[in-house]
Amino acid sequence: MPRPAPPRQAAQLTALKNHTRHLLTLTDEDIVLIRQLDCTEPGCPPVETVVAVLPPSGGTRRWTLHHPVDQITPDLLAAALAEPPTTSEGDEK
Amino acid sequence: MTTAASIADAETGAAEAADEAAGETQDTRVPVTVLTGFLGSGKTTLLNRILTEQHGLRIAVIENEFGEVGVDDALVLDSEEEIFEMNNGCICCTVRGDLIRILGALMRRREKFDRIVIETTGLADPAPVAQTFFMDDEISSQLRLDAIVTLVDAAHVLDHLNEVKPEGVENEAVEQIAFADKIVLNKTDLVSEDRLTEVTARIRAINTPVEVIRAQQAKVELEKILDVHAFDLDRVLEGDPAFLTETEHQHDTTVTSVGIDLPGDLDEGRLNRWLGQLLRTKGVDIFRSKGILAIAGSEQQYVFQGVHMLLEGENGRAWRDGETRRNRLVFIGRNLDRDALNADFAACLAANSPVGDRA
Repeated sequence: MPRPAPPRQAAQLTALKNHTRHLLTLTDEDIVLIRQLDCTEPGCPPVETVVAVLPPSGGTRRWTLHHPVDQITPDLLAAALAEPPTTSEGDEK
Repeated sequence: MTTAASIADAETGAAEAADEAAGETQDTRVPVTVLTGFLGSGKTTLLNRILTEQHGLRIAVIENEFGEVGVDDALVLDSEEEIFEMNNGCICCTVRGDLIRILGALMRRREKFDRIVIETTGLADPAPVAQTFFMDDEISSQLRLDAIVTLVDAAHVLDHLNEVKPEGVENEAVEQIAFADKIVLNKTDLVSEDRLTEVTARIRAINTPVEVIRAQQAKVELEKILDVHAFDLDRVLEGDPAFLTETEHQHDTTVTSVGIDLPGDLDEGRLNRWLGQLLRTKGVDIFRSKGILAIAGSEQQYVFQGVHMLLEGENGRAWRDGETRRNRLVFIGRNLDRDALNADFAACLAANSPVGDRA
């Protein structure tokens, strides 16, 4: 069961996406998704935010930040994106 | 497959204030309607009406391909259909990359329209389209999936539903009905009343709460399918409060609905564990879920809706004085275990706490 949705902060989300694009030097064709997830699986943090990049050529890159989305600062994002991503080659069907 | 978006040439000044519910927060997100339906069901006819009629609404239409009808001043965008699978450990889902791009482009022209309609191909799985609205917080902060509307050809739908597919291949007609919030039962003039009754019963065997709207030549009042809050179970229950406990249409079918209606307060911890486990293990088979719940200690209703493993929930309105605190939810999916769902959910009631939980 997710908690009540975070405040609808479209501007903050747009800024985080733009920062992601800048840090990773993405093109307009690359898609950036940001989603806060709640998880009840044993061993998982209760809240995490996934940043995913979907390139037009297929294959995704993902980073997980163990923070609610409204607590992610540009510095936190930069530090996370400096780490190797989880990749899913051929994710695009 | 090409996707194109155009904005219907329509009069400005559409009535905007109708949704101002007294004392309740207005949701200003753009409502999005997803149109599905098999080839020949009348989708294109309905879309052409939306694009050309003087209905006073400013509607952006995202089509599978450029429509045959020319539209003055239309904003047209196009891209290739892309389906991305997203596996994030606990959650697995698919999203439509082309839609994400095109919706982003549309939102930069937000002032030009008030509603969005997305047409899917006749054979499309509705899940990636629906999940696109759950998998990105920016999209869900600006856009609200209002309803999945499935057009059905009354004369041929039973043939499609009865078609036996090879193992592992989905019957798209079943899926499109299972995902729907509204069914437009089209071409009713081509079949007998008995046949319509049979088709309606078959539809409800799959998707019990869905509203079935009869139509000829796709002539359906747009206010019945656009901006209807059909994802909101509260609105659905206002129309048919008994659907959760209806059993008369429970035919032997693989894809069906399970409704639960139980009074009482829920233990939030146990509810979280049960629902989390359920969606992790059965989410592939649970197409849709929605509910209004009473959480122990909360003065507000908890409202959720989900597509497969993705769930979105938030506090709803406050429980009213004298109103029975109760829990109403529905699952639509494949091979649902009705008895297990009922029993496991009942075990989440605070009154049913095991002794050890009450410490």
